[in-house]
Amino acid sequence: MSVIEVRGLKKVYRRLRGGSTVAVDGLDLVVEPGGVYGFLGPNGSGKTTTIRCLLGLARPTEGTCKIFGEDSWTSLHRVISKVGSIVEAPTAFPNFSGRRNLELLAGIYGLPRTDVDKALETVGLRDRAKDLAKTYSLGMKQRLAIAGALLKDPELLILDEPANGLDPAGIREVRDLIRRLGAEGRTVFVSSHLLSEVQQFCDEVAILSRGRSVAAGPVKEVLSHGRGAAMLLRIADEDQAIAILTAAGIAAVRHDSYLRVEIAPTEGARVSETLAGAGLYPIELKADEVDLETVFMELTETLQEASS
Amino acid sequence: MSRLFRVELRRLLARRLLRFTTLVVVALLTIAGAIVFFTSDMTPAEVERVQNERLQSCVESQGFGNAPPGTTDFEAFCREDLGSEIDPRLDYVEVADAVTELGFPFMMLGWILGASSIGAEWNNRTLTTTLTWESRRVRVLVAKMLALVLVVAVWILLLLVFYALAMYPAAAAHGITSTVDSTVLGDMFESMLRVDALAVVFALLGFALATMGRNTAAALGVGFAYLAVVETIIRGFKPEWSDWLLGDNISLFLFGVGESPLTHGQTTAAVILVAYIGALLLAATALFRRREMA
Repeated sequence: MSVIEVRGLKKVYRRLRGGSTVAVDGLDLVVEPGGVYGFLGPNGSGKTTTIRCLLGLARPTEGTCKIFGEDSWTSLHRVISKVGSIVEAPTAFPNFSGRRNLELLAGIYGLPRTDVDKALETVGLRDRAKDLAKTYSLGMKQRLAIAGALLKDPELLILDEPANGLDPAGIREVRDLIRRLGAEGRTVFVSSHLLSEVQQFCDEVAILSRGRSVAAGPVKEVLSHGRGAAMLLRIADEDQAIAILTAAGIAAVRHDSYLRVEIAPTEGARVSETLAGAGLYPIELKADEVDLETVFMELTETLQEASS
Repeated sequence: MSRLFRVELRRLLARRLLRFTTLVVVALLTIAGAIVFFTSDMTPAEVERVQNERLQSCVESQGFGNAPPGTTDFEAFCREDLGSEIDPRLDYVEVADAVTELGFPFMMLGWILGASSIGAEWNNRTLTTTLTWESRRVRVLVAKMLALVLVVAVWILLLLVFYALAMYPAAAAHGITSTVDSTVLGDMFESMLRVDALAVVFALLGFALATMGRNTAAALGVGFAYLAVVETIIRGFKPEWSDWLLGDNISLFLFGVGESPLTHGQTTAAVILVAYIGALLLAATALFRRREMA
């Protein structure tokens, strides 16, 4: 059984002054158990709306959202104890301490205080646990929210922009935490607009644009996005290098200040050998790695061209 | 559900508003008790002087117009008519009678606490977090209502008891307590329960309005506008509708039939109030059940 299953999700917001906004438009999504699933897209692409529908906080206009096989709007209560989540900005009672905020949540399931201590320890807030939540920085509030999500010891974690407001060290900690949680066998569904950031710890991703999924699958597959493996070559005499490589059966084209050589990085030695045989020596030779941001830009440009 | 209820109880009891308001009210009642204590100390000569003044005033006005036709001995009439009112010393029975006068401020306390208990949750978006722990919305809301009812009922009752205790030293030291018997105490406790019930009703009113308006200020503003403006206009243009107005039924429930122009009794007033609040709570629950959570 899939952990998350979204079928034909459409969410339309009616405006008071007439008209409507389509936040999500026919989204299909399946997340299998285990690992980290990145739910990516720029601001306003429909990530949070999808998460709100998944958590039963908003009602889909069309389509269904299921978690552990249960419909999110009608029967989420059967599985909600297995789901930890953060939705949008972190929430807390500002005049209660961080610990009291967590204790109130823990009380809903009758969890012991030791679980609260453990969650505070995990997110590095133990020393500030007695301070009022309103004195916390945005990053600390975010950690508190993560602690709240972890408190249930959930099988599925749904984290909406968990790195928001965190400093670089905090981002790294969250990244490591998510990686660890995924490695423990939990399913972590993490949304972010920082595509390159998320790329570092996700096993699978779905990329959203204007409420639609433009790419989904294992990170490597999405990154390759129909292109073959390639290397980037910097060399003094580009024209001669192209001629020599083409003669050797290796396709090469100009690409910014590099030559893009259509060959797998594992065969990089063949490029060096061929060029050296002709008395040409590479200044730089590296794998042509694309990041999700580049893929996203390419995909959305393609979509825009198609629609125009 | 019981866990949700306990959590909400803990949250309400930990709220600064409740603690701060309790401190302020206790301080005010203590100050009031102290003022009454220090200003009620009268010498026997002063007591006699005031008694004579009151008697004289009554006699000169021929029994304040209350004397039956043909009365000639107005002094005797006034002595009987004034009764214990002729004595200027603090009679604890007056303290008991004044409990109903505290109805309005204590209703306001209930209203504010009720509205802010859920208004703060909307403001801080903590309801969203709660719903990611217990997604059955009706349960969440009912647990919050029940906790609010319990907290407000106990809180207001304790404050009223504190009021009665704060006034007692003045009556015991400088006034009259001999008139206090089980009937007076019973009546006082009944008045306290009426004030308490109204405070709970107003807490639920504030809660329902804040649930619908997603805001404490909106709940207080709408409630105030309705009671102070809408009902005043209705009372002016359609006095025959007074039987169904919230404000008039509150007055009737609090002060009794004697001072009310309404055509029904206290029990009917209570039923009308409960019906109004019940309808509002049902509407709030129905709305909350379907509402999109930010």
